Amino acid sequence: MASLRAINRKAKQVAQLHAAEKGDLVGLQDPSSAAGKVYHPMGCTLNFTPGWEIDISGGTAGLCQPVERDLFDCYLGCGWPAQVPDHLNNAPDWTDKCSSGANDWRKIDILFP
Amino acid sequence: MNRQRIQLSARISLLLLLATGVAAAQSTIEKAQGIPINDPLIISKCAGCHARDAIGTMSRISYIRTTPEVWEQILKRMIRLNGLVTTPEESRQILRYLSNNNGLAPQEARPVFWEAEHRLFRTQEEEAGVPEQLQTTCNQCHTIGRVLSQRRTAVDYIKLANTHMALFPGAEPMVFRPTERYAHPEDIPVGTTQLSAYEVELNYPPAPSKTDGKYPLDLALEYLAKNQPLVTPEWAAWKDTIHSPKLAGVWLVSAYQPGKGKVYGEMTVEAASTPDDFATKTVLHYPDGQVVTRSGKGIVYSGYSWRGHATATPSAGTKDPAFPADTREAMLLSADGNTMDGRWFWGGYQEFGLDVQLTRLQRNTVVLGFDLFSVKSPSSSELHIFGANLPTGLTPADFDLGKGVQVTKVVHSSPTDALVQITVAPGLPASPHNVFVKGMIAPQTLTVYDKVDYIKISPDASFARLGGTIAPKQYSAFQALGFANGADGKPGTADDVPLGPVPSAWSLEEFYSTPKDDDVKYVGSISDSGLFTPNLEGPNPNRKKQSNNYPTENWGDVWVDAFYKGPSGETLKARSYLVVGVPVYMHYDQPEVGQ
Repeated sequence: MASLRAINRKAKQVAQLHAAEKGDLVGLQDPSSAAGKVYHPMGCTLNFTPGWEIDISGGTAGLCQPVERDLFDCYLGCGWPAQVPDHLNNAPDWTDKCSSGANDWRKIDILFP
Repeated sequence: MNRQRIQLSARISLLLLLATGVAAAQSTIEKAQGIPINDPLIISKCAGCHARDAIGTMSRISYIRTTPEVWEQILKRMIRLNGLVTTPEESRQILRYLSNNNGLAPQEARPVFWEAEHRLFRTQEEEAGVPEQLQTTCNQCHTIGRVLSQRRTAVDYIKLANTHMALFPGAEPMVFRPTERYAHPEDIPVGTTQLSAYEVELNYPPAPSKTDGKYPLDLALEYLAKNQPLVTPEWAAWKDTIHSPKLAGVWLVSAYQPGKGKVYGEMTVEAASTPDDFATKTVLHYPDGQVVTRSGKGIVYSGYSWRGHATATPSAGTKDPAFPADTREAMLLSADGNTMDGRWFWGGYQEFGLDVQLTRLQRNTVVLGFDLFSVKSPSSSELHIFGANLPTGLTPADFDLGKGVQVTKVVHSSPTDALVQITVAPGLPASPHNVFVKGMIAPQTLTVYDKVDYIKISPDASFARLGGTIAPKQYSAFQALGFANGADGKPGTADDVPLGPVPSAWSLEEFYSTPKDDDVKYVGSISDSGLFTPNLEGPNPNRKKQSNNYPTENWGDVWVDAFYKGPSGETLKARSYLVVGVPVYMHYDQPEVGQ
């Protein structure tokens, strides 16, 4: 890139993307971080495991859009049990008040088991 | 043929006998290690399922040692899923007995105390120290602190894993004994094979799901049995010396709140109903002049581990989420019983906190600290020093701030604080200076510098959660820290001198991960003091992206930028990475331990 100069908008975006990849600090999306792996800020009651808060690349672009659309699948499949209630044992009636998460998301309960 | 069959059956019997013998031997060792439970309430509530034998050991319970938080979690699960019925007072009694009788020694609790302190961030080095065997298993769902703060027998660890597999069907195929489909998701991106115009097959990489014929679960169980056994010399030495500490009295508080600065004050502890219960009253002085008065209570577990809860008297600033309106406390008492340290925390995800150090007030003079982190050479400023039993009528000659830093005037002097004017001579090299008041050294240093050479943002990567409608917001407080290059004149070397927080301007910048997602417009806003406030959760009809045309959340990933303007007009910039994500719908947390 050193000898190339972006002159149109698309090329400028490519240049910005390139610059962002060579960011100046350790971040979730920097594979060359000090520990040689992605750097996860630590949650206090749960880990920052890719999949719930972030996608596999460390960002949010690959998550279900919106998350409420997929939430009840997590619930039924006991997926992300540290973040989402599970229907098998801990919260069998979590979805009673709300049949469609994407539409009625304001009725979703936050649980403190 | 017959003879062969007989031989075979004899061999099988022998094997069975051996196996039974081994199991029996294991069981005997296990029994011998068990911690007797002699509390009548626990026996009456739990022995129906957890059989108690002649020597007082109860199944499962006797083979676990852990923190009050984990015991509380267990207790709540027994109530939620297993039909245990207790009153709140009985629960408190059970929790106390188990935390004392089956707790951790102070040496075992301290390295993972950040778990009880609800700290959100640790450094890379600390993370690198987490055993690989636990990272690939327990740490997939739990914070590693929960795992490292448990001590069990080898057999009980197996039972613990079995409980997980019974309660959560995904645990085994995804984590413990992963099938190829799920193993090592970090190896993605997966390859694809175009089968036809409409069909794509995903090619997951061959999963190294077994190491030396062992599954991740086997390796984790081996690690835990070896490194976190029920019986340890630390616990053996501690368990017989546990007593209720005498904490009543006045404690001096020296604290730090990221984004707010150094906080000083006093906590008065009074004895309450039982020897392990205390009532507290606290006065805190913030650097902006705000005075916060709190009252609350505290409980000491295992003879050294403080859990408390306090509410601040309503005053100005209660709308500020960074104001300690309703705080929980986790502190460790030192071996000599005269200091405590830990964190007082609050917020929807406990993201706000004061790092506190408490010192028991005695008759001696104490210099607690002062408000500034660093001073420029040359400059003049005011320094506010805090302490206890300070001599009154102090004069400039009573202060020694090292070569080139002079106290020119004592503006105010009282037994608890002194306000002095200082001048810093020109041309001093960047270095920390000790501060002496009447020959007594302050526990912190005052750094003198001639120039801020570069700045960094703390934390360097952070996380916030959307909220405000049904879920709480998770805020994120950033601070810009200044550094001088040190003697070698190069940044990023070991001799760099940290200068503490420096005033900065803040902004958010697009992180180019997905083209045209305009995260900066949606995720939230950052204040002049570096406090990031996330946007509302839920689908935003104004934000349709990707291909499914559904409205999407206000989430995203952005750079947080700090700009420091130097005295000669130069601007220094630093960046931190921030992900703004979705709420948590299930809060496994145990505020009850402090109540």
